[in-house]
Amino acid sequence: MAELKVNLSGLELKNPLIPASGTFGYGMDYLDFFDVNLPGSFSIKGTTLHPRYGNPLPRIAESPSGMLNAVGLQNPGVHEVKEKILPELKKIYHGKVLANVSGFSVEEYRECARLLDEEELTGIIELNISCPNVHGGGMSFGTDPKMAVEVLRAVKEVTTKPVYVKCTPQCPDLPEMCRELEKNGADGLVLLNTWLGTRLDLRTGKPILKNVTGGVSGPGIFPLSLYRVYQIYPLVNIPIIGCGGVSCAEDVIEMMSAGATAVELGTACLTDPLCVPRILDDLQKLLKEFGIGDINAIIGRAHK
Amino acid sequence: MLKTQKLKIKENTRLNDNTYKLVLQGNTAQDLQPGQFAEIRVPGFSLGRPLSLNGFENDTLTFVYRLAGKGTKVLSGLTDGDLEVITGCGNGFDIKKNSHVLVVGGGIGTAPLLPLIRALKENGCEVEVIFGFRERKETLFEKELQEMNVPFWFTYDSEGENVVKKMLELKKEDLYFYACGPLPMMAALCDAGQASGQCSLETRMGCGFGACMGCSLQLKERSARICKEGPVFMKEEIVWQNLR
Repeated sequence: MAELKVNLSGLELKNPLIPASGTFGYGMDYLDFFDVNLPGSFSIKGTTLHPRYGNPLPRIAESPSGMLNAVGLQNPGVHEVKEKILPELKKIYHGKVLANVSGFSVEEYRECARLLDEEELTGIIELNISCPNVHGGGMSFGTDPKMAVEVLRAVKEVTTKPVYVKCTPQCPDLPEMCRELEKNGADGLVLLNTWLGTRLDLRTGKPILKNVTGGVSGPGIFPLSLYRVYQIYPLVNIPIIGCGGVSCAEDVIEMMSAGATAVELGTACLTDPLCVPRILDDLQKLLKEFGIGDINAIIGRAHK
Repeated sequence: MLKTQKLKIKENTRLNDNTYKLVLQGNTAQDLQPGQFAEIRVPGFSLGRPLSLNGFENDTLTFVYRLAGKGTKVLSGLTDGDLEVITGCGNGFDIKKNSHVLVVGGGIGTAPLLPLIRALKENGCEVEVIFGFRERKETLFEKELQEMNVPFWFTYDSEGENVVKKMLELKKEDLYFYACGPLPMMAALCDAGQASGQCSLETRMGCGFGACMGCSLQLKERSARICKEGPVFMKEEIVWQNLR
C-alpha cells in the first residue's frame, strides 16, 4: 500500500481527497453510501454570516461531461452551523474540515471566519472569493486582487488556523492574484472554483437557469483547472489544492503532478456518490503500477 | 435508505407515442414507498435521470417515463445490459388509513400514483381516481385501474376537459387528495377545494440525494430539498410561484 498521507500547512490528511464545498453538504448526506471519515478531509457547504435561501429554481443544468449549478450559497448561516450542525457532525466525523467561508462584505467575511475559526472541527479556513452565483459578493472579491487582499487580511487578523483562498477562473490575471495572496498571508490556494456558463432551453430559447448563469463543473473542465495548477505552482511557495473536474484516480495523479498537494472532488461526488472509496482504491492500484511508494513524491513532478 | 446498485434491464418497451415502461431486475428488496424515485444513470450523460417508481417488488423495479429530452431518448433505446441506479431517493406519500380519498394525476405524473393507489387500498381506504391526459392516445393505466377495482375517470385536454373541472363536476373537492402531474394542474387543484392533500413535485435535480442543494424549494415556513425531504409535500406548505 502506497503512503497517501499529505500535509496542508501542518494539517495532516490521511489521503489527498477532499470533497469540495457545496457537493458534500455538512457531511450528512453521504452516510448511507460510505463512512465519511474515508476522505482526507472535506469542505463544508459555503457558509455566510446570515442564513441564505439562495437562488430560485431551476438551479441545475447539464452539460456534456459536466453540469452547471446556480445554487447561490444557500446555507443556514454560521450561527446555526455552529450551534446545530457541527455538534451533530462531531458525533460521526473524527477529522478536521475545511470551513468554507463566503460573504458580501469584508466585515461579513471577517466575522464569519472568526466564528468558524473557534470551532475545534475547523482545520483550515477556506476563503471562498469565487462563488459565481451571487451578486455583489463571492466572485466579485476574487477578480480584483486589491479586494481579495483586503478580505484576506481582515480574515487573517481574526483567525488562528491556516487560511486557504479558493480562487475563481474568472480572475483576469490569476498569476498576479495568487502572488498577491501569498504576499499578504494566504497559507494556501484552492485552484479553482467553477467556470461561468449558461444553457438555453431548446423549446423556449430562454436560459434554463433562473439565475441565467451558473458555475460549470465536471470532467469537461479538468484540463482547464489542471493547466492553472501547472501554471501557478512555480510562482508560489504555498500549498495548492487542485480543484475542477477531478473524477478519477488518474486525474488525482495528474493534478498532483502539476503541483497540487491535495485535490477537491466536486461534481464527481454528485454523479457518483461512491467516488471517494472508488478513487482511493484505484489510486492504490495505479501507484503500485507506477512503483510510487509515497504519493508526496509526485507533487509538482511535472516541473522537475 | 439510499442504495447504489447495478440493475439489469429486463424490459424497456414503448407504451404509447412518447411513453416507455422500464423494468429493472436485481436485488431490489428494500423498504420502498410509493412516491419515492430512483436516480438512473444513462450512459453518456453526467446527471442521473430521476424517475418515480411505478412499481416495486423484491426483484424488480418498474418505471413509466416520458421522453423529455436526449437523456430519456437514449434510455429508451437500451434493451439489455445493466444500469447504475440509486434507489430509495426521497420521501414517498404519507399513506392514510381507512379514509375516503381522491387520487388525481396528470400525464406522466400518473406513474407514481399506481403503487400509491394499491397501498391506500391495502390500508382500508376508499379510493377514487381522476387522471387527465392531453389526448386519448396518451392514456395510461386503464387496465391497471380496472384490475384494482377502483372508480376512475379520465379527462382529455383535447376534448376541453381537465381534472379540476371533473373533480368539481363530480363534487369530490372535499375529499383528501393525492396529486402528481404538471405544476399548473396541481396548483389549480389545490386552489379549487378546501380539502387538504399531498402533491408530488419535480424540478431539475443535481445529485438526487440531497448533497447539492440544487432542488431546494422555498416553502411557506421552511426550505426543503425536493429530492430529499420531498418530492411529496403537503398542499398547505407549497408556494407555487417558487416552482415556476
